[in-house]
Amino acid sequence: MAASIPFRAQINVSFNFCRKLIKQFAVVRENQICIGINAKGLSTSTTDTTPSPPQSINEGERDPFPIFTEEKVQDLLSKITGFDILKIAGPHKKPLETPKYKLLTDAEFRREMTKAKQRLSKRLQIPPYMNPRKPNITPLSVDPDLAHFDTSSYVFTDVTFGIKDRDRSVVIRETDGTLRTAPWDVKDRMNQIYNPREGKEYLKPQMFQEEHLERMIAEKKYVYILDRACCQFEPDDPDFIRTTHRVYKAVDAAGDHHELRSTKHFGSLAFYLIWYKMADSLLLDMLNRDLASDCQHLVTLYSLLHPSSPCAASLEQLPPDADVAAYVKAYIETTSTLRSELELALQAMEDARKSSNRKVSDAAA
Amino acid sequence: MTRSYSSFVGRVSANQLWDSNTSVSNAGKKRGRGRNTKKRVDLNRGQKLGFGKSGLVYPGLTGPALVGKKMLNIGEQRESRVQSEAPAVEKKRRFPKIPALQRGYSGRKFPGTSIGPPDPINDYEFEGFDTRVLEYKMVSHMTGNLGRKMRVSALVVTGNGKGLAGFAVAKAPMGKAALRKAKNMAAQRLQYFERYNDHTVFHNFAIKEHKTTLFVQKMPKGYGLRCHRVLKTICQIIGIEDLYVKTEGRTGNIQNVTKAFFRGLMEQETHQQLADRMQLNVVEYRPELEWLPLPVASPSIGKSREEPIKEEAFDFENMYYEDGKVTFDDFIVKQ
Repeated sequence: MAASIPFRAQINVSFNFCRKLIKQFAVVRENQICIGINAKGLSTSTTDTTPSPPQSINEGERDPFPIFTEEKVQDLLSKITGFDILKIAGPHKKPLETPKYKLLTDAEFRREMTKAKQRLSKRLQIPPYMNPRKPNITPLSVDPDLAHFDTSSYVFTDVTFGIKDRDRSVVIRETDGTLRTAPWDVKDRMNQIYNPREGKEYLKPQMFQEEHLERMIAEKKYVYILDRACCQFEPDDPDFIRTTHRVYKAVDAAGDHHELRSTKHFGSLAFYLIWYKMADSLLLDMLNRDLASDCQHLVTLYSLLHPSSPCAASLEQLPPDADVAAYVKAYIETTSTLRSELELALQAMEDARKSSNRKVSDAAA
Repeated sequence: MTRSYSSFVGRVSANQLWDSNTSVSNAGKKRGRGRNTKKRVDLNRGQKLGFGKSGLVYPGLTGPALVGKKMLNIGEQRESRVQSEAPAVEKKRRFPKIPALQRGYSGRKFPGTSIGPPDPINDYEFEGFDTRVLEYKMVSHMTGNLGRKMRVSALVVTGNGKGLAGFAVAKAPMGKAALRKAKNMAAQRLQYFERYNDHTVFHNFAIKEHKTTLFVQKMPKGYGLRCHRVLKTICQIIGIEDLYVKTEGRTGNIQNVTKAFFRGLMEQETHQQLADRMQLNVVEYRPELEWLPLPVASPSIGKSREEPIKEEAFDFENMYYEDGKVTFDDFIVKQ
């Protein structure tokens, strides 16, 4: 039956060789035996139950991923992220090295800066916002004849060169003779064995356990947690979603939105807050920081994510050349829960703009 | 013939013995030998006759005189106790221990130690200043009357750790006076050194003073001071935190090492001066900031020249090693 699995590679493991090693490992570890097809590697791993599912806030709802990948949404998200090049660049911990110096003309310097900006803008690619993946438990085939063939179950991994981790087929032959697609955690471990990635750990770091996570959130190490989560988990891993959502909630509650600005996580944060209709304090932060165009983009995003909401309806009635205040007002009137604060902040921003305009005109006169 | 040996004990009085140890001839006094004579010590002070270290009891002498169970009455015992209240023989005076961080380069010597800020001049207090001894040695010259006349020569550096520092050499017959003189002279010869981001020099340079050569290298923040101990002290006084110096030639000549380092620091070219001289932007690339181009200086006139320089001809790290700076023409791309 195993031969019926559409492996991309030829199975060229010598059976005796395999058998020998399998016995060797099966004695030591009882639970699973992993076989990398193509005879590139052979390893064992222990099974554990999949991590407890996160709060099922998204269940029965629509899928955010297609909306997240829309070009317009991506464009607006990257616009509100901001681009503070010094914050994107670092400082990162590096071995000590002396700085290098160049003498550049103005034109050369501009060219160098553009190049650096292009290089660093890749850092701001927003991690995908997805629903948690569903466990895949339907068996591929059941062979009662093979029951009790060994005391361990066998894991078969496709290790063809160039295959992507998400496309890799990993199957398990259970001890009762069932052949099934490997659970997600097994698949993640196999991927890490055969295609190790820098910064990713074979076992989930303790940092992501509730108590440690809470401590780190209290210390406001938001960017560190999110960076490490991106490294460790797939974007549809329930652990990734649980961790990131917890951090987003904490950031929103503490009003630390600015910490995430000019990082790749700001887009995800904004998307999360808008998706769950909690974007009020983010909007307030933008108004307080005098980021007028960001406010407009945020309200537009709201209408894109919730096209049937009253806010979207009132935005449609706005003239195409409506200013920021009109957008924000429409949002405040239809959706806001922090009405008075937002109105005050909007008023303050408009007053500041007017006075600065007056100063400019006075100076011109 | 035989001559029986007889001890000096009994032939010579205690006074004569002390004189032989503590007196100096008149000629000796003139040459300064009188200063270090020993003092007479009264060896009988604090002694208790009859009481030894081991605490043996001699009946009748240090304890009760018993005959069987009957105690004999001795009247004079009390008097001897009263006498024993006198202080014991003075112990040899020991120097107080200096904490490790306040000690100098070596042992109980002056070089490397701190001697505090310079004395105030007309109500001006040298606040935040510290002075360190770099060299402290005996020097001498010959006179007709006294022969070799010794003096103390001290080289000290004083500064506030924020770029202001000066050094001076002074001589005096007494060490303390030499240090004070040098310290106050150094305070009147202060120079201001610009530092790059308050932690290192602007560029690598080489400097030579007689047969002493220093190769100074700019280092990134956190590197520390890896150089001659004297240069390390000077850097701490000036406020330089990260530096590497290769010292060549006569490195034991502290005065030349100091002179060379001060001159080298003074002759540095700041990034702004370089930008103005070349009429180009000085751009810095730091590894911890992803090699992001950061302008550290631009020409004061507001814009740079049109002609770029040959990149292969420009070598910032070795630019200031040749005596004198490399000229602008060497870099210009001929069009």
